[in-house]
Amino acid sequence: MKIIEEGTRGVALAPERGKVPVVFEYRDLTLDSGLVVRDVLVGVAEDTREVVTVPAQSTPRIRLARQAAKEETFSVRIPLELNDVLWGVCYELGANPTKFNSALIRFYLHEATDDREMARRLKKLSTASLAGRASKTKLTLRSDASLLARVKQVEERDGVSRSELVRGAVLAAKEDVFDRPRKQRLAQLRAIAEAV
Amino acid sequence: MSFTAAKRALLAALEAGDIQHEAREVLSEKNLLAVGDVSVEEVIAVVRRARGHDYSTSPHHWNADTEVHLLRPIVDGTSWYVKAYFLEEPAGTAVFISVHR
Repeated sequence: MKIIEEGTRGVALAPERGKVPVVFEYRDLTLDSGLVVRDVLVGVAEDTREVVTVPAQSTPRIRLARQAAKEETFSVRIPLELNDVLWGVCYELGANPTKFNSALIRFYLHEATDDREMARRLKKLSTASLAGRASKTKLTLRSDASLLARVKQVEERDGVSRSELVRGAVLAAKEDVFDRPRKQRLAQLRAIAEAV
Repeated sequence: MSFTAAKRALLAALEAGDIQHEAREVLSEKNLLAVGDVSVEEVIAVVRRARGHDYSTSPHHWNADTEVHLLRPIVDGTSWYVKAYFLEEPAGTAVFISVHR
């Protein structure tokens, strides 16, 4: 990859004006969707200061910014007891709680979109008495839009709400870590705990 | 510039990473190479598959001296549109205007 340094001068084509001298600078770059990507190396026309070219080295940054923009957050209300379960799982696996909760729930939701048995398991667990207690706390989770779209299909297919799937996921983690631990599933959860 | 010369120069620029993307204050997300939705390797494969009948050329409307190269090959059933020019003829940095399917 050719790396251009800030301050490098060159030429580029500018609208209606043809070849113009440019200087490469780190600037905020606006995409035509309106998304603004911070601190991207761009070629700026020296006279008008408009952005006229973007070098290849800026593409990974633009790509990541677009992916992050596609991520969504969603919130579900859960009983305080389920929150304690999440803390317990987190503690048991030695995970960073700020990121692990989302990753753990995403894992089970992903499994439910891939495997109907898991979807049925989460639905069944969501009817357990612990999941049915008054929901007094809000759990905010990050996810990507494609997973949420697939979860939506599970909701419609199996007649279960997203909140129920999340409550079921918390109880599935409780079973898999504390109540009926299985080697393979524990290894998966430990790998997630280490990765976040 | 002939089709063969344009193809060779495009491949050389892509393989060297000597590429830029045209912007008009904002960057068009239709340029899938610029935003990372397609990789340099994918575009190299598309350019390699292009034949003479997939190629056309026209002057850039911002600068008549700059020749714009358009490749529209069909690769594995997908129509590609690759539009680029060189800042310095006959080769050098390739500037992509658009890369999309």
